[in-house]
Amino acid sequence: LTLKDAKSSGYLGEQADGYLGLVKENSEAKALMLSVNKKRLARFKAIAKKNKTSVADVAALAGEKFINKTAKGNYIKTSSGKWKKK
Amino acid sequence: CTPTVEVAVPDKPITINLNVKIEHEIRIKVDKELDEIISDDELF
Amino acid sequence: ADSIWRLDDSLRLTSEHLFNNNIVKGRAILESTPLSELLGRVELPELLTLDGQISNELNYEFELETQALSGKVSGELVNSFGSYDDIAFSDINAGWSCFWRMAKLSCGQLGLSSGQVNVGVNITDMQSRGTFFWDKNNWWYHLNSFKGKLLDGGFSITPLEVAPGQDISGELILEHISLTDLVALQQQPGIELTGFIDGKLPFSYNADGLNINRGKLLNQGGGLIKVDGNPAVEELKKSQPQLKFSLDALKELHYQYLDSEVSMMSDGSTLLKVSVQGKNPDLVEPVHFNYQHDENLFLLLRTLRLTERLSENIEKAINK
Repeated sequence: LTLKDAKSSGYLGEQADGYLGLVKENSEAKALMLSVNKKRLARFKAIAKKNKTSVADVAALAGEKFINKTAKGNYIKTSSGKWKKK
Repeated sequence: CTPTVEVAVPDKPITINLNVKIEHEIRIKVDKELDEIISDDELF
Repeated sequence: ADSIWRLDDSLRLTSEHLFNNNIVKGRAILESTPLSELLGRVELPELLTLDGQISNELNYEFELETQALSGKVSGELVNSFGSYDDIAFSDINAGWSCFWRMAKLSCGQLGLSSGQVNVGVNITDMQSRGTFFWDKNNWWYHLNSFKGKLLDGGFSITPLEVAPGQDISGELILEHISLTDLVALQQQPGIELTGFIDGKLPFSYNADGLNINRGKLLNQGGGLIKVDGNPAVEELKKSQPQLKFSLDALKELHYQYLDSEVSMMSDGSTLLKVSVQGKNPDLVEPVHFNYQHDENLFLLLRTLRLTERLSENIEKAINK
């Protein structure tokens, strides 16, 4: 299961905090989500360190960006916490 | 002599309106680095 | 039966248990132990580091017939320090004392007796007192007092309540905040400000975050404003010569009255409106100065944490 497929088939979606969220229960998608989020955190930490800023702000900026760049038809989590198709 | 009443007209105050907006540019530098994550299929 | 046993090599836990006429009484004492050893077993949030010395005493009574368990837990965390992301905290001393009876937990004493945190602005001498209650279908935390020192003055928070599903609201009181220190945060050359302000800032905290709505900041006893040689202002005088005369009035403004209003949204965007009335010795007319400052407070604080770390690193480099 690739990340692209997991998103297009509605298992995973982007959240404002910069991390992937589980839209529909699926063990394979969940495992993929956990591993991708772990890699994202490592990258956010590296970016935060390099720009001498906080991980929280890098993740928040990432969230904003990832939601904007999410393909039509894929899921994003709205500020009220509900999943919505873009 | 008739008392003269002098009304000192208060001098019109000098009014200064100053609006300052401070933008923090950390956002721009980080932005470029996040583009690399987006182009990585494993992460986005 | 009196027993001294160790959970594993690190924990010094002594416990005594007494059994007579159907009641088991006991006591378990955890002697002062490094927190890091306890936390080794717990999954801490990713960005949190925490250490200190923890000690705790548990006294309990268990009635066999009624199966009723009651107990008292009290202890303290001493010299705790750590960081969350890039925010460092230190010399935290906290204490707790709680009772457990009929499946209800109530902590009459829960609070900080000291603590310091650097959010970009250094907050010291933190103290708080609160109470906590829990049973299987409800819990609440009541903050009686929370205060500390910052910017040559102090802050305190009015009593508030935290309960599930409830927004938190209260008022932040500021006293004797130095305008000199406050302006220094902006690190803008050519701007000097003296005087002190007190403030009342109503705040509310909900799912979106923290909002400050129409806080009031008032000055006590006047002060001096000097805007002379600030690059941005000089630039303004060049680009808009008609402003030069009035901006020059700010070169030396003795003010008796300063009143301002501040509000902050949950994303940190902050709007400060200040109105100042005073005199410039070289001018006959009184001067009314209305200043509006629009900035993201969270980003400002983070930039300050950044500059602080930079200067620390520079100092370290020099002292090497």
